[in-house]
Amino acid sequence: MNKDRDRSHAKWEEWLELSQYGELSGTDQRELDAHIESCDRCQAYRAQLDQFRLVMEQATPARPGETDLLDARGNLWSNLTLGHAENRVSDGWMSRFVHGLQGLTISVFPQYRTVLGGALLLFIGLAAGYYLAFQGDRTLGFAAAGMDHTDLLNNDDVAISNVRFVDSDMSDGTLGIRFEAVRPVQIMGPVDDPDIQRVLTFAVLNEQNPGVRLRAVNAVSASESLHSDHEIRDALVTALMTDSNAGVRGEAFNALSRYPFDEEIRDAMIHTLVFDENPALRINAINRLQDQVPASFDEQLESVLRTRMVLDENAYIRTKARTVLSNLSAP
Amino acid sequence: MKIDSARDRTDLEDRRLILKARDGDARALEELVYRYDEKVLSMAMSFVGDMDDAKDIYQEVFMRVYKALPKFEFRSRFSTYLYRIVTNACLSHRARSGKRSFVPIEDEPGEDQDSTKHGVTLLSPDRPDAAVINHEIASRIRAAVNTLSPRLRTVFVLRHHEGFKLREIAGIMECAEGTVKKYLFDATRRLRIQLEDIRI
Repeated sequence: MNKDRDRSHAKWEEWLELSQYGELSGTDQRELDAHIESCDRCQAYRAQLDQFRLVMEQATPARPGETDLLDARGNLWSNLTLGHAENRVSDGWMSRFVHGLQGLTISVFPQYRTVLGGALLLFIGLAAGYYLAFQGDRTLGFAAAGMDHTDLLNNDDVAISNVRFVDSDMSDGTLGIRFEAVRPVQIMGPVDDPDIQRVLTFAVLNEQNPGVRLRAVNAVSASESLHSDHEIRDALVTALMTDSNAGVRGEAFNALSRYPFDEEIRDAMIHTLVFDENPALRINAINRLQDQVPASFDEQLESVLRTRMVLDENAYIRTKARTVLSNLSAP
Repeated sequence: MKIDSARDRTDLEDRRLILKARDGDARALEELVYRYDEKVLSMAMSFVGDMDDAKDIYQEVFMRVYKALPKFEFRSRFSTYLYRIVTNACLSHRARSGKRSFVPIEDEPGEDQDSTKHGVTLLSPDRPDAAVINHEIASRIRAAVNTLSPRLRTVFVLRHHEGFKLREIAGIMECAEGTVKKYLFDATRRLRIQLEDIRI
């Protein structure tokens, strides 16, 4: 009897789910509505599904903004323009010539296939190098036309990067290219030198190579006279909160431990405790916060500790959060 | 009926743009991309949850489409074909990035899950601690979705986040609509069990 009821309810439950997704036909929907009126079990199930839908809405990812879309489009056209150029090279006379030559050598001298293959490969490499070098000169010639950048481009020290096509329509015989021309600068001096500090701060925040960021943080923390420098401290706080590399965040954390515990460092510790994926850093953060309790204890910290006590995946942090809270509430 | 004729018109227009793009018409290619690229970026974001990764997938998808366009045989709608590429690119991206996912629920260690099941409630945004708590809960939901197998996850994300109809998902995944329905019910059941302690 119960089995039969379960089986018949499997159908209603399936319909309820389909109804939630707007996938039920009109006739079936009316039949379902009529059934629900008199069925407590289906009413309860519908409530559960409504609850689930509301919970899932919390995790709906943010829709891409206009800026994101424009950025993606810009990169796509750059890539497509470069890809198109590559395709044209492969379909050009050079490619046809190479394929023709390959066919000829293999059919006329089959016994020397390996040797001829190697020679052909060498020839292709040399020819491709020449061809690409020739293409490169021509591209630079277009970019420099009328822009008064010839001196800059002729300088061997200048590195060109981040090339973007601002006008890839070549129907009128012209092309627009934007690029960055970077010239290396070398400075040497004591770590406390303001210029060196400025470069280090920049490196901590902007350098793409995590190894360089790590060394920059190390260099910053090696200085004895940086404790009052807010710019450096702010850079370390930012690195701790946003750097993608756990090693850099860890070094930033260590460097910050030399600074007096103030509100900004406290916020950075709370941020690390709540958001950092690395459990070791979260443990360091909760330990440092514990050292400052009760002086820095307030509603925000209490709320964070209560959350960590329940939600943190690390058992040590859950226990520690509980301990700190119970110590505070103890008489 | 009205919807179908609108879809047919879209199909015809896509076909026209594809044929022109094949002949080297850059504007046709641009128009074709702009018809769908917002949806592509949104899908990628729904799958990977990170805008930078989503933009990488966007590039990968349209570069693949660009290269495959000359061979496109119009056996399916262009949109279905495109969304299939997006789905595959998203799944490969996650697999490549080594993020923990696609672990069947049965294989998940029970201890950690149990340890977090103390009952949590979504807070109204005006509460001072709402941002932190609700962020935690949203992370838990995303983590739960990531534990689904690729097929369940694909169906769930496409239906829940992107609003595709089951019939459309069946086209994208190249399987029967009944199979999609089964995957969706299965995904929903697993997630409801995992997230049953969260209350609104």
